[in-house]
Amino acid sequence: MVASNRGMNPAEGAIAEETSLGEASEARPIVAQMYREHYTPLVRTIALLVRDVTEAEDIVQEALLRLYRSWDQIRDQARAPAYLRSTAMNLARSRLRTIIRRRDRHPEPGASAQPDETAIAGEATSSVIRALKSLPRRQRECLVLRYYLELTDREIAEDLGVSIGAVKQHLHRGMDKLEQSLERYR
Amino acid sequence: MKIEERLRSAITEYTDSIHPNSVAWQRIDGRMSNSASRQLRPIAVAFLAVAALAVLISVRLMADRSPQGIDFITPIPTGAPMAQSTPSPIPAEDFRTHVILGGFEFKYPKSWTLSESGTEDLSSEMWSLWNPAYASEGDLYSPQYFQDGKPSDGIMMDFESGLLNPKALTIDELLDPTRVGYSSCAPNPEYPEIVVLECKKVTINGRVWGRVLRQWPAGHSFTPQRFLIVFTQVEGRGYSATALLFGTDFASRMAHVEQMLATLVIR
Repeated sequence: MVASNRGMNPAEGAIAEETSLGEASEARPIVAQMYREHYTPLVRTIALLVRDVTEAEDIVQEALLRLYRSWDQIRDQARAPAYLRSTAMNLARSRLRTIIRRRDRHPEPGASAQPDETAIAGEATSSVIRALKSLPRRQRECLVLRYYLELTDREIAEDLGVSIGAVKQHLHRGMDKLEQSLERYR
Repeated sequence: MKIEERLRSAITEYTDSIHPNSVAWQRIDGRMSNSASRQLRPIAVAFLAVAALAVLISVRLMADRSPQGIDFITPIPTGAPMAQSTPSPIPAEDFRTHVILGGFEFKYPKSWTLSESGTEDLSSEMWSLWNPAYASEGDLYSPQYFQDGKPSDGIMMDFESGLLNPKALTIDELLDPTRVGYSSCAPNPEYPEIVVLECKKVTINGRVWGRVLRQWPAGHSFTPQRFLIVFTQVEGRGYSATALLFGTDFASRMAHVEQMLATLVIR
């Protein structure tokens, strides 16, 4: 509930205040172009962070819709892809928190038995993806942004609204944990 | 094979197997059309509201010609360690108001920006206020958490797992640096950028203010690199926590702290 100059995600920080219907309607072709260029890679990215692909698709669609609604509020429109990505990441986090909260409140027997989407891949891939998905959220996000989207430390820091030092730490810890986890199941 | 290569290769294989739904665009396009038509409604409502307000103001001015003056929000003095200078009041018109879940009305200076991905999240099922405190070491934050439209005091995020920890903590537990598991939330020498204030809510002239009771570390000065976790006593409900980050000079930061607390008005 606060403003933050340093902690604020720059993409989010690019949001201005007023909205107008006229400008929002101009956003449609731009959102269409963003869809063509970013939908599939972003769904694949988010799928690495949430439970399944359907959920990832819902999240990315919602993020595109929010981009459309906020288009006239974005000061630096060159940063729209970063805004889209960070919105999708926030939605993924929010979705996970909701799921965890519901699960804690109403634990269902056998509810954890989610279909394993990694089963279609080979065993080696499945074990790495499972280990990745079991990492703490922030470490998982950093690893996905680095090793899937090939973002730099600075870009990851901007996307997640954390310092570059924190990104390095999360990458390091995440990789260590991943390695330990894979060793354990070897 | 090195772990980095294994990860890269696994991610590539896994993501290559994902083929998103080809009709997704139709869904998005349809929702954009609905969204555009819905945007007209608030404009009409806003127009009517402005017209009604104008009528109300005219009637009031006719009834009472005495000028009311500008409503300034004037902070009250805080505890000794904090009151190094008297913050200048910020005119009320320089604030922006948001009504958030639970009926809280939150005002903040116009020069600030809500640090969420747009303001859409204000209407979401659960709106957390933790984004601003992303400031430094990853998940250091601790803001007020809203559950089912009500602020749930003391609910903290577990640093390591990233999962919600439903245990409500007391201020003493939070101030205990030896506590295992909450070290990222509690004041900790490893995280000198955190300053914790324990505040008490007081009501003066119908307005709610925060009075600083305790600070950790004592007498710690503020810098733009530091952020605050302000724990505010709420009568009968323990504490609520708010994370604050400031990038301006000391006096205005303190003014902001007070005004943040002052303007958390429970309807």
